[in-house]
Amino acid sequence: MSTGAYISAVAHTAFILFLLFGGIFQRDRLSEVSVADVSVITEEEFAALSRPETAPEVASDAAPQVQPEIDDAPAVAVPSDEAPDAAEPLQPETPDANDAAAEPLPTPVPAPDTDVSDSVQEVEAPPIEDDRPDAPEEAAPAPAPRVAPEPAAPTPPQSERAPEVVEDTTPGPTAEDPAPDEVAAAPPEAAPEIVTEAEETRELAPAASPRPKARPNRPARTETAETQPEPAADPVDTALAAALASDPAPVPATAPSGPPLSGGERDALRVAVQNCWSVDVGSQSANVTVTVGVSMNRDGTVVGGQVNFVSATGGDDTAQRTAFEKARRAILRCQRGGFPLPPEKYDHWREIEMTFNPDGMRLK
Amino acid sequence: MTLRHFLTALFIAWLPMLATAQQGPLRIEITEGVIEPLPVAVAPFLAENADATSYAQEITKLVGENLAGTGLFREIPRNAFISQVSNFDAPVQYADWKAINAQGLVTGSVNVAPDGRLVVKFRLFDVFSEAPLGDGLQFAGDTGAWRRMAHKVADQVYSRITGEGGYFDSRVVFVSESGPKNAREKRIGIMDYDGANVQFLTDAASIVLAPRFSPQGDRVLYTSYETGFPAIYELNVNTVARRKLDVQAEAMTFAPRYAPDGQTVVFSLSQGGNTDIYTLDLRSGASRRLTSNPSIETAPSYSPDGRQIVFESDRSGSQQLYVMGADGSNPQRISFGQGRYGTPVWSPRGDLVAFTKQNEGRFHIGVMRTDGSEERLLTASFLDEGPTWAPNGRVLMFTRETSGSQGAPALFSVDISGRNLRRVPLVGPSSDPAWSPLLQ
Repeated sequence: MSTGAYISAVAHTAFILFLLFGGIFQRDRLSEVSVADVSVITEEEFAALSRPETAPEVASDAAPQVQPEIDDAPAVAVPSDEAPDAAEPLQPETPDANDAAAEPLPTPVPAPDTDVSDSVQEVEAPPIEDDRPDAPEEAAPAPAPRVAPEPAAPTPPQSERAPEVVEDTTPGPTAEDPAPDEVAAAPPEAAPEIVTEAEETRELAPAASPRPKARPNRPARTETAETQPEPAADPVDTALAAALASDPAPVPATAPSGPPLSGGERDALRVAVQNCWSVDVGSQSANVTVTVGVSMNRDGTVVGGQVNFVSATGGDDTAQRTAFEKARRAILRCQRGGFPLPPEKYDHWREIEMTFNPDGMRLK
Repeated sequence: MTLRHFLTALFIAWLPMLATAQQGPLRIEITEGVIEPLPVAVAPFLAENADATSYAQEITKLVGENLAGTGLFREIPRNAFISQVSNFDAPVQYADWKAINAQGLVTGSVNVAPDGRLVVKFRLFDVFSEAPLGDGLQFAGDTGAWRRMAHKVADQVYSRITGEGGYFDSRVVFVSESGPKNAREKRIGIMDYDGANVQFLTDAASIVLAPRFSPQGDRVLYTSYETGFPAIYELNVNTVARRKLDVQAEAMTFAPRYAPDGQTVVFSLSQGGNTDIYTLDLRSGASRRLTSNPSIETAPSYSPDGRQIVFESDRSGSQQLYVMGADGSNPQRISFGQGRYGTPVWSPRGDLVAFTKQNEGRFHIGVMRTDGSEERLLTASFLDEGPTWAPNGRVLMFTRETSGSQGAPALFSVDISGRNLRRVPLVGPSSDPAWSPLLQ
């Protein structure tokens, strides 16, 4: 019995280790594949270029609208994590679905409308197919999905964009996104990549077939690694989510439950609020430290504009009331476009308690 | 078993990763805010009839000036308004006011009733909360008192937003000075807090000093050299009737101040080369000596609760500030910085003492806690002296005199944060201001 048990244990352990390391290796491979994908992207562009009319039309329509959005994106400076949600809202508003993939930031701009994000997700899938025939008119929603399904090659280009737009890439694996990548990718990278990568495109094409599994993992890892100090938890959760969910939408829903907000993300919120926190250093309210609580919408705005008093120390009742009013005013005033919070971590900031402590400012 | 343990360990290791999602609210501490005036929109007050047109314009202007003059508010220019208030009772288009970043919105209307009385109504709105801030209010009075009604509106706005009492509907007594520097004529004057409506309570026949309001604002104590020696007089602001306080006739008395009850006067009495602090009961005429040091004790000022007195003394060898009980007991030195401290005044809030400080050839107006801690100098110049507190304990008015033969005194005000230093407009060369309580 004991011998059998030992053999069994050793065999199972070896199997588990193989799975673990195998998984790691797969990750590595995936990362390597991503490099290959980059070259593939150019191939898509090349294909798009070679295909004279269909791709160019979409691009032309998309281009004007996309560019302005791109400009906005850097200004917003929203973390890459928000890109996915942002991209979705953009599609409904700006017909260019293709652009969305390239520009995660633009979506943050529309982000203020929480409803938009939800609607966007729903809108995405249906319009794509229907619009394909109609694409020439509005071009925005339809073109991206259309292109993707038809050309198999498009998938690699997504890999390149993926690092930039985190979640957009994840939906990509489903094969609908490739189209958007073509449109978006074409303008920025067209000249250099087309020339150099024309040769390699064939190699990349076969490589693309195994990817579908790998892609979901890749974007999550790359983003977390870049933006967040705590990538460890993310890959696991994202991998599980990707495995369970075939559609891109579910991925973002589960992802937020992963790592907490990074220091940078907390600072972004802190700075956003304190810029509107007007402190009257000569008043009695400057002696009050007040804590308020808010429930947040997914778009970073306060639910119903409702700011709740939690606690206060120092000062009399009047001073505490004034301090609370000042805190409330700061939050409501600065939430205009929604606070800069990563949507995929919504579960972490669904409820926020902010403590306004003027000790450091008093009577300087 | 080994495998089970191993899997269990794996599961336990993964648990925290999966469980990190929900852990109560996100907590953020904000310790750095901004110090800037609050943007407020004062919509033009509506004139309900033709007679009220000019009053509506003037009151609107004055309300805005009052608020902006505090340094705590910034009036948004009217040409920036997106929507206009055309009906006092119409709902407010908050979005239009948010767009111009107005955090407060003041609306109002003015009406001259058939009986000639002026009726002023106003409302205050918290724009970003999209709700009224307090109830609408209405003031009525003689048309000649339109400035007071504007001050009262501004006081309400100030009070509702800052949580502290206002000070616009108040007056200041001061010494008006005219003539060359070596032959100044001095008169007791009274004016609105903003320098308007100056009136004189005494003539220039004799030198007058240091007027001080009673807690009710109906009387003024001052020192006059009418008899050749300084003596204390009490003056009724409404009737301008005055009387000399009946203290020791052969002594010099000066630096008077009312106790919070309005029936006791604390002052300095100089006799035989020694100056000490006394009190006088205005009802009984009984006086009482509070200090008996060979040094000079003067400039007494009561705490708001009437239990303590802050004063200046050179008993330590240099002029410093001391606090003692209202009965003269337990004097404690509270100022220990370099230089000389004088003219202490206890804040109406009770938390601070304002003073004049002379150090290294410069004069300062400063404040410190009543135990002498947290001293802060708010101003610095060739000559700053004689601070007086606004009724809400938030602003100090004082005398600033320029140097040289052409130098002249002027009244200045400064926020206790040291910001918003500004000269009181509309009034000529003046000194020795004393702020009244808020008018009723």
